[in-house]
Parts: sequence; C-alpha cells; structure tokens
Amino acid sequence: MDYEVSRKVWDAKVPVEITLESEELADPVRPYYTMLSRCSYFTFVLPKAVQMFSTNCPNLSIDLDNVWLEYNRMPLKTYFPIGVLFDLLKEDESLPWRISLRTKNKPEGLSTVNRDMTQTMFMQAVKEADYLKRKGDMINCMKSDDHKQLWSALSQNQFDAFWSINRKLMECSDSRPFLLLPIRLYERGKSFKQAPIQPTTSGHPTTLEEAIKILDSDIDYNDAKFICHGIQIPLDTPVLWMTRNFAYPDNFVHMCLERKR
Amino acid sequence: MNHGYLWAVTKAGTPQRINSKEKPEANEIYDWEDFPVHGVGGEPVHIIKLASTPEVVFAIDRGGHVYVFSTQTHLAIRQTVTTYSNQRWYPVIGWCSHTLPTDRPTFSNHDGTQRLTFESFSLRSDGWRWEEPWLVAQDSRRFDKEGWEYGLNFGRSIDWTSSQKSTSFVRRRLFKRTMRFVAIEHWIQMAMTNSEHKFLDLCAGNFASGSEGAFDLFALSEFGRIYRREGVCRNNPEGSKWGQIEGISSNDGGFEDISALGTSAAHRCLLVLTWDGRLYARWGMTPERPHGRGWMPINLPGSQPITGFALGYTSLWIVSVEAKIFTSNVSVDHKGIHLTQTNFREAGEAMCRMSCSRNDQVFAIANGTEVLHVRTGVCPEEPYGKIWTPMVHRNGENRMLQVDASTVSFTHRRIPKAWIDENFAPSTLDLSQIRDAQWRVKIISELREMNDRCWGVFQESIDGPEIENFARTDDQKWRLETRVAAIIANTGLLNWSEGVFQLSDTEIHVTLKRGTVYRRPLEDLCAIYPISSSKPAICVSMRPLSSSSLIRIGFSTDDERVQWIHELEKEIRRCAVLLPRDRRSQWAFSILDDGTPRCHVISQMRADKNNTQIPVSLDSAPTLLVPGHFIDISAGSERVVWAITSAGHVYALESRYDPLDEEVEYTYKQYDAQIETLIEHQKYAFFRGFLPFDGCSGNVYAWCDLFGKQKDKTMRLPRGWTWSDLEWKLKSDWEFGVRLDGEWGVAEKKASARRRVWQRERVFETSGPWIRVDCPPAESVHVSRNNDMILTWVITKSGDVLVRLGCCRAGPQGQDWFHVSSEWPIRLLCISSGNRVWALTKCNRLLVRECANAVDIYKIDWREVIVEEVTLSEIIEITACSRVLWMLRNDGRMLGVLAEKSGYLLYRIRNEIPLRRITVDRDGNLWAIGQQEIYRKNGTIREIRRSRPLEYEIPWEKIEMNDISMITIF
Repeated sequence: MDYEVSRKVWDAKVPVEITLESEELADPVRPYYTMLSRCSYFTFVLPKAVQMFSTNCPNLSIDLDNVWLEYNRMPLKTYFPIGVLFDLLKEDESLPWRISLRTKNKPEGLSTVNRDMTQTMFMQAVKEADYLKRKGDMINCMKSDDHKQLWSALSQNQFDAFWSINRKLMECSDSRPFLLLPIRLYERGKSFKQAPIQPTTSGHPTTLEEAIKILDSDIDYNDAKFICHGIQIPLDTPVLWMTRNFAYPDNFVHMCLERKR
Repeated sequence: MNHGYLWAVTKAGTPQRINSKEKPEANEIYDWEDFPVHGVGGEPVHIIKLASTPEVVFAIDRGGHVYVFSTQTHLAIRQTVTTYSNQRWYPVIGWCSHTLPTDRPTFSNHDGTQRLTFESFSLRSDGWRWEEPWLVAQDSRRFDKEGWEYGLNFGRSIDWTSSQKSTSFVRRRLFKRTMRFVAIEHWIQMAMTNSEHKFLDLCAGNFASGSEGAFDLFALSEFGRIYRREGVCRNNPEGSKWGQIEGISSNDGGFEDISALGTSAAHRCLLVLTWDGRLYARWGMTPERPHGRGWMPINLPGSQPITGFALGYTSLWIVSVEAKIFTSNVSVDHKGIHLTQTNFREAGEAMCRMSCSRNDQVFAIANGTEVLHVRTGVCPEEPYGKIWTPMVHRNGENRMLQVDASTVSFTHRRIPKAWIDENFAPSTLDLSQIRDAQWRVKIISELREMNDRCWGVFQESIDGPEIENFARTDDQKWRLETRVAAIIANTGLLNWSEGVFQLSDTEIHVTLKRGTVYRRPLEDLCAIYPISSSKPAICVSMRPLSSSSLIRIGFSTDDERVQWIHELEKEIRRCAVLLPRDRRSQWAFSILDDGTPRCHVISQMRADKNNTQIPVSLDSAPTLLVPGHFIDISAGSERVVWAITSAGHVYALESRYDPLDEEVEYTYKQYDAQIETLIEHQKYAFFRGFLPFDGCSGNVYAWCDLFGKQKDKTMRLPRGWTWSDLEWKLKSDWEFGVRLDGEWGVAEKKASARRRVWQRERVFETSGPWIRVDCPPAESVHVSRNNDMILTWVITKSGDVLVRLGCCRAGPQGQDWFHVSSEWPIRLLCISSGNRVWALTKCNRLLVRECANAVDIYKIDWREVIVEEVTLSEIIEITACSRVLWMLRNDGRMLGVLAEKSGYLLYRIRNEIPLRRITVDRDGNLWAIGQQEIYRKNGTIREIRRSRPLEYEIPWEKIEMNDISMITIF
C-alpha cells in the first residue's frame, strides 16, 4: 500500500455550494457550503443540508425522501461517488461546484437513492471488483461484519478502520497476483466502458495507455485527458498500482475521459 | 504505522528523517527523506535546530521563529469553537437580537460573561482551516426545531427549556464551527504573539506522560529565558502559549547564561547547560507543576566543563570540552536527576551534538567530518556500547548540524540494516523502486495542488458572506494584485502570514490564507511607508476607525514594493484633493526612523457628525513620503521648512512643493552620507578562551549596531543608498569588559567579555524638492514662527549658532548668514516666541535672549539663567512655549522651567511613559514621541505637589503613529 497516495486520495475534497431551489420561496436562502470527500456519496450530506435549510426557513417543509440534486439542469445520479460525478460532469473550472437542491417534481426515471440503497450498490461493486481480481476468494471469506465496517468507516470518514479491511482486498503478491483489474472508463453523455485488463502485458506492468487501448480503441491521445480523483493521470502509470492505490472505496478505478475542444 | 523516525538537520539547514522501523515493509520508505522548510514567500528557510515528538516536530530558523510539522496521523486534528446568539422578547416587536444594555450581548459565551461575535474567532495559525460555516447546533433534547432554547431572563442561573412558554422572555441558540489542522507532513510557522518569543534552542520529551498526545516542549529565547509550551495536546499540536520558567540564579545576583536545553523522551525533566559548561537539572516537576520548583547542579567527571549532553531512559551522555564522550547511569524522578554510579565512564571521542532515544540508543555527530554516527551494542548489560559506527547517507549531503533520536523505537542490537549497511538492497516490490518515478511524483504534487486550491475556494465561499460592512462584489476589477506576506495589527500575531494584497478602484483587500479578510475603502488610507524587515515591506496605516488601522505587507521584491507605494500614494492624493483644505491651518512634517521625511496634510478638512468642516487629526491626515534623508527638520511660518542630513548638510524645501500634486517633479539633488557601525562581541569560556557566540547572550547580541539592535555584516542597504567603502573596516582593538552588559575598559585578565568596532560608510542620493543651502556642517535647525521676520537658526557641529536672514515664501532658502556669537559652544536651542530664544551650551549653562522687538532678536546678547535642582548635563532636548521651557532628560522624563518673579522655578513632570523627543506647535501645544507612538497634550496640566520639588502631570492623548523619530508641527 502506498500510504502517501492513498491518504491523499482519501482526504481529497471538493468545495460544494448547495442552493435550495423551491417555487415556494419568496427570498433566496443562504446556500449551504461544504467540503465533500471525493470518495463519499451525496446520501451522507443530504440530511445535513436539508436540516440547515429547514432551520433557516421554518415555513418550508422539506421531505428528505423526495429531494433530488441537479447540476446544470441535469439530475445527479447520486449512487456514483461524488468525485466521479464531479470529474465527469463539471463543465468549467470555476469553484465551488454549484448544485441545486430541489424539493419537488422529481424527473421520471430518477429513482430515489437513499442510504440503504447506496450501501447495497456499494457492496455490489466491491464484490464485483473482487471477482475480477481473484474470482471473489477474498470477499467470500470475509465476515459480514467486515462488510459492514467498510461502509460504516466510509460514512464516518475513518481512514484506518476502512483500510484495516480494505487492505485484505488489495493484498497482492507474486504468489497470489490479481487476475484482472477493475477499471471503468466514463465519458459524459455515454455509458461507462469496462473490459478485462490484465496486470501485466507481455511481461511488463500494464500501463494506463495500454489499458485505455483495451477499453476504447478509438481514442486519439492528442485529443484526450484521463482524469481520476480530479487530476490528470500520466499515461505511463502502471494500472496495477492504480488499482491498489487509486481505486475508489468501492474498489473500482473510475477514470473519466475528457476530450479537448 | 509510525514507528518513530530519526530526525536530523543537514549542514545546509534542511530537516531530514529516516524511518526507524527495524525491518521496513515492502511499501515503506527506508531511506533519508528531505523535509525542507519554506517561508511565506516560498523562500527556503535555514533551520538550526529541531525537536521531534511522536506526532509533531518543531524547528527553529536562524531568526528564532518556530515551525511546526505534523507527521501523518490516523485521526483528524479538529477543534470546535462555539458561541451563543442571544435574543429577547419585546411586546409588539417580538423576538429581537437587540438585547437590553444589562443583558448579555447579542453574541456571547455560555454564561454571557464574554462577548463573542463570529468575527472574534480566527484560525490559530496557517496550519488550520475552517471545515464548515457557522452552523446552529441541533439537539432535540435541549433545543427546539430551529435550535432555540428558552428562559425567563438572562441571569446567573437560568433553567433553559426546549420550548417557548408564556414566561419565556429570552432565548438563545448555539452556533458551532469546526477547524481542522491541515498542515500534515509539511511545515508551517507557529503563530508568534510576543516579539520576545524568538528562540535559540528547543527540545521536546516526556512522551509517555499519560494524557494523549501531550508532551513537554521547552525553548530557550534569545534573551536567555526558558519557556515551556502550554496547552499542547492531540487536538492542538502547536500548543497555545509560552510559559516562562525561572532562570538559574547566579552568584552575582543575576541569572546564569544558558547555552543549551535538553530533556528525555522517557521522563518529565529538563536539563540546561550554562555558557561555561556546567549542567543543571530542574527538580520538582510533576504533572501538577510542570514548571518544576528549582535547579540542582549535576556533578560532572573531573568537574570539567562540558559542551553537550543527551539523556535517555537510564543513561546520561556528555561531551567534554576535549570532545571526549562520557556516560553514566542515572535515575530520574520528580526530585531531579541522580547519578546512580559515582563515576562516569569514557565511551569514545571526537563526537559532539549527541541525542539519545527513549531506549537509550545514542547518536552523535563526528567532529570534523560532521557525519552522523550511531553507537552500536548499547544494551542494559553494556550501557557504554561498543563502537561509534557511521550511518549511511545514500544521497546528498551527509554533513549534519543536529540529530534528534527522541522517537526512535528500536532497542539494542536491532539497528535497522538500511541505516548502517551500505550494501543494503530493498526487496523488489519495494516502494522505493517506484517512489521517485516521474508519474508518481506528478500524481502526488497534483493531488496536493488540487486539494490546496479546493480548500482555498472553500475558505473564500464561507468567509465571504460574513463580512457585512461592504457588499461582496465578485466582479471587483483588481488593478493590482500581489501575493504577499502580511501582519494585521489587530490579530495580535507578530509573524508574517501568507496572503494576497489587492487594489481595486474603490478599496484595498488583504486576504490571508488562514481566512482573514481585511478590506477598507480607499478613502480610509492615510499613509504608506517602507519599513525595515527581513523582506521588502511597507506599513499601511488607515484612518483610525478601529484597532485594525495598521497592516504590514511584505513583498518578494523591492520593485513590487516601489510599485505598490506609488499606486497607494496616488490613491491618497486622489482622495485628498477632493476634500477642502484650509490654507491657514496647521501643517506638519515628520522623519521616519530610517530618515525618510514625510508631509502630513493636516490642513485637510473633514465633515464631522454635524456636517461641520473640521481639520483632520494628525493620525488621520493624508501623509505622503517626500524623497530625501534627514535627521532633523523644522517647519515655520510661510511654509519655510528646513532640514539637516546626517552628514550635516543643510537643505530648504522648495516653496512651491505640494505633496498632493504628483504632476510636478522636482529634480534638485540631495545627498547624505552615514557611517554604519557594528559592534562585535565575544565571550570567555574556561579552557577555551574568547569565543564568538550565536544570536544574543543576556541582552547583548553578538553583532549589533550602536543602539544594541541586532545587525550583521550582510545587512542590505535601503533604496537610494550605496556603500562608498568597499568593505567593513576594523576601527578599534579589542576592548575588555567584566560582563557583556557591564563596564568596559578593564584589564584583559579580569575580563569575561570583549568587543570591537567595525565601520563602513554609505552614501545616499536622490532627486527631490530640497534646495541645498551653503553652510558649515550643522547639527540642528529651528525655523522661527514669527510672521514679521522669519529667521532660521542653525547650530553647527562646532557649536556655533548661525541665523539665516531673508527667508520668505518666495525664497525659503533665505539670503545671508549672521553668526550669533556666544562665549560657549551651544548644544541645544529652541525658539519660544518671536522675541525669546533659549539655548543650552556644551558646558551645560542655560542661556536666554529676549527683546521687545522680535526683529532685533539675533542682534542682542545671551544672558545666563540659573535654575536650581537640575543637572543640565542630563538634558537632551529643549522646547518652549511662551511661558514654559520644557526639558527632556536622557531617561525619557520631562522637566518644566517657569519664569516667576522670584526667578526661574523648576517643575517635575510625572509621566509613566518614557519619551524620545518633545516639540511644541505654533500655538504652544506640547507634543512628544514615545517609544512607539506619538502623544499630544490634551487638557490642562494638573498640579500634583505644591511643595518643593513641585510636581505636575501632563494629560497625554495617545496618537497611534509608529516608526517616527522626529516631528515638527506648525
């Protein structure tokens, strides 16, 4: 484990301004400013924001189960980690990230993703990743308490508690190597791509460039940037190292492709 | 995770560390890593000493500033601050934040005894960031849905309830805000609140003291005082303040000079080394009394002086003056440090600057090569160990200034292989294989950069809405914007904080990285002037509306400073010309401590509350720099202003000069020359003779100027000055003294200190509005305030008095000199009115000349005046109004002389504030310059004692103007 990098990835946050948008409001309400962990999910912060808005405008009743978030007139799919949504959707350089919280008229097809559902989807991803890495050997022999600890440590932002379990999922040695690497490539307006990527290519550690070729063979490298955790990743970075140190807590490396205009 | 590190400082002043885990795991770095310290402007900082603890490392630079480094921890370091917002219920109006005068303030602490507004909270240092905006605390057991709790009335004990009742007349809610320590694995400067807290040495220990994260940090100030950092705990790694520990009383009634401090990682203790090599331990240190109760000497082998020491768990190591190493078993308790063996045993030589771990493992630096060594084979059975083994430095500098083993965790015979085995090779999966790979370095630096940017944006978003004085305009057009270092007076901090300085068409902003935003409209600007500092800096003074009227800004280059002074002065002029001026009104000139003259436009009018135009006060008058360098200046009638340079040249101000007019540029050349003098001090040490020392001993700096201010040969000259001497010249032989701060001129045998003088000449040249007047070298100048005939009195260096005739508005430089003869050379002079002039001779006689017709004043003779009970040799300045002659003594106290029928009577003036200069304006009002600020007599002088000696008190009004050495007000 590359502690320095893992810690920085875990600590990375984005400044977010959440504005309450409601037709019932006469005056604009002071926005909710917060720093959100890239690795966490919007379900963790929504109760806090709703509570603040309720305190500031007592006349308005906000139903936590019916609120939804919007950025640039697009609803946010809150089951993705915040960092992925930010890297994928943020269209300009300006900060903080301005998001609207809406209380009514949820678009059709945008299902409410509450805490429990987010947890289920998170665990699903962890399992899928382990199936890719070593056919699910590790996740299956872990106790269900360990599974719960992964989630609760994430929701409480406890790095050590999280990594005490996650370490096992990331263990990899010459005798017990990873089989395939869980990497997804996202592009705005498209569904993500996933393909079998091996840790080594003809005897050398597979680089990001080689992995991208497998994920999407049409990319013109002069025209594209590959973003993960908010920064551009050098193309010669070994993907095995990325899987172990640059994955989101759901054990997937979520790469975003950004084409230059 | 953290098995402790061995820390060291390289010869170049860079901190380094190496992991002390016996067998580093595959992914851990086993080699030395650099952790350089950077200043506010990004410049490298030279570290001279560090002190490591398990979670925090402290370091001091050459200037004595403290830096803090928090090692990677698993728990976030947070602190939450709280304040209550209080409201009262009024009939008809309802709930209202305006509480009654007898109530709690709108924002207060929990029992209402302290006013606590949001703005009164600031981050402790640059290491902290606000994590969230102010939020209302939610707790359904205590508060209602909106966070209120209700009570009958504000009083000492209130029963708060969570719901409103018919008897609820007051309510409050709790606001919370959390700050987080973000300076993890990088250095930040510790906030400094007292200029005496500059340090020469520091040490840390007592890590197992029980309370979590607590330890002892001791520091030795440059004035030789010992301090302990208070309030250190897990959530406050920097601690909150310095508490002083009494010094060791010496035989001569003073305190022993201390050169070094030390403690042990394993014990609550403190050891100090005196300058002449004796060792003392503090006793009586307990958790309740962490400062201890007294000092006890430690017996040293052969009673020889020592140069260094280190204390572990059971062993004390010392270095003798001959660089021999001795060790002995000790036991440490609250009674002090006790040798358990009578003898010290020799354990090698040619080593110095030792450090001992909590397991008694010991390290030292070799004399000469300065390579780091570890003592191998140190174990309980063999506390002396076997041999000194050099440590491996695979890359870079291997000469070391200091080593600190406080947190090293391994025990005997388990020294990590990587430390001493040159051929040690890491395993293939080792992180060090990829550690320096370009892609990894890039990823780490970009992650760090992005995170800094995000926190910066967040600070701005949450701080912005709280500033309510000015509407926040995001579309401000900045005409000038520079990254600077800043000190804002009202924050109480004395060290520079990183920030941005911005100028728009309407206001200036200083935004500190820590989150403080200071903004004021340009109309509030009063004065800008350069100040001497470690970097090119200016002082910006604002109209004194509040305490925050003074800010200091440090730039990275002198050109930036010049540009900002120019732009800001332009704004002062632009705002000033819009307001009316009263041509008949007063005006004033002052000289800054560095010799730069300034003009205060006190003729400026300003509307008061009733919209009547009144003249501005001195401290809020537009003040502009005038090019030039002078030591004395005098302003008289008809705008005649004369000034004298340190070389004794005499200049008169061009009469058309208007400080508010930027258009006209005057190109008269003005010159000055000054001898810069440095005094070098050395101290005597037994067996070693006279030696130079670092920094300061007692109150005397090793290198200082004539006034005792710390300076050295590398000093930079201010703008306009150049060295005329190529190098420093030795001006005297060694002079010997009993003590550094005692009497000089004793025989070498009796001396324990010596000093000598260095000099170098520098010259000044500028273009400005000053017209040279031909005159013998002069010392002071006095322009009369008589409208009929303006006379300018000059005292030459030889003590002659010359009067310049024919000075007028059209020709302020006058026409002819008239030599006023005197039996004795004159030292001081003052003009009390058109027809009376006072003088004090070099032989300390007080003279006066008076006549009925002011026109004749220079033609008549001096008359001696006898005043009893005054030692005139102590007088350093005289000034007079029509009735009283004021005298300033060399101890900063004032005397008054009043002409009575019976003769001249002396009055003592009781004043608590020592003064540097005194002067009167044309109306006879008394002004004075104190150590820092200016005072003006405001009100009538009060009689305190009627019988002899008569005593009076002057009611002074303090005016917040700093750095002024001379002022003249007409």
